[in-house]
Amino acid sequence: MLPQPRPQQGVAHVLVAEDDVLVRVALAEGLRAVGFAVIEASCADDVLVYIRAGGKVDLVFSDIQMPGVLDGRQLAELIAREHPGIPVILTSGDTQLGSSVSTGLFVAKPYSTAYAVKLFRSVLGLPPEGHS
Amino acid sequence: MTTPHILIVDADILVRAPLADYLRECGYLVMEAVDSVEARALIADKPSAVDIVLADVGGEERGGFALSKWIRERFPDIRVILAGSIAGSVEKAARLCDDGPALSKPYDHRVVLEQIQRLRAAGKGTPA
Repeated sequence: MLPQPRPQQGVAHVLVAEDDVLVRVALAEGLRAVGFAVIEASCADDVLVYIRAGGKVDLVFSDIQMPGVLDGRQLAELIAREHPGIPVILTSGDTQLGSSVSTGLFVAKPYSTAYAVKLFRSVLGLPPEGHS
Repeated sequence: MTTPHILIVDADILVRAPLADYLRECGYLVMEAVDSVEARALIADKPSAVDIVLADVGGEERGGFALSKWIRERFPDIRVILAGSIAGSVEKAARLCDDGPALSKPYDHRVVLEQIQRLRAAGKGTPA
């Protein structure tokens, strides 16, 4: 007998855009472990494709420098214009790039999964972990 | 029985993400890679964390076939399911892949699930 899908109800959907697959998967697994639904993208272009296709996204966490047409800053500006209800948090190992971020929040690499969880919950207006 | 870890390799986020979600909702642990380069990095990083690879053969220039060959040579315990939307590629995949039949795209999620279940029932994709 095939297992039956059990859709998650009422969970926050975080779209993680990161071209380093080991970094992306580690963060995605950490976020899923605490109850987030996570969509993974390896470039900013795919983030727009997913959102424009109607995929559910509550928050975007994106690296700034990735392959593709758009960088993270351009992505943040486009989302702010087209979907102002979706908060965008940008990240980079280059803190000078961080100072150039005009739209959205910035998190410097390296960051811990615990820090990301705390920040995402705060931005989404969710209670801290362990509080219901 | 330990939950199998499945690695989906597909460049199209609108294909990969819903399929990964569906399999997670069915209780599987799923990792995602956009191409064979990412897939190799994930497998090389933690070979024991991958039991079944579901790889698209159409996204890159023979990327899925090359990935399958690479996995078989280095990690024979990892099972590979090849999938594609081009008839010729699917037929070629069926001949190459001993974990077949190869899957046609667009995916029918239930068919993917059945194929994974068949591998599990045959003792493949189940960690010792």
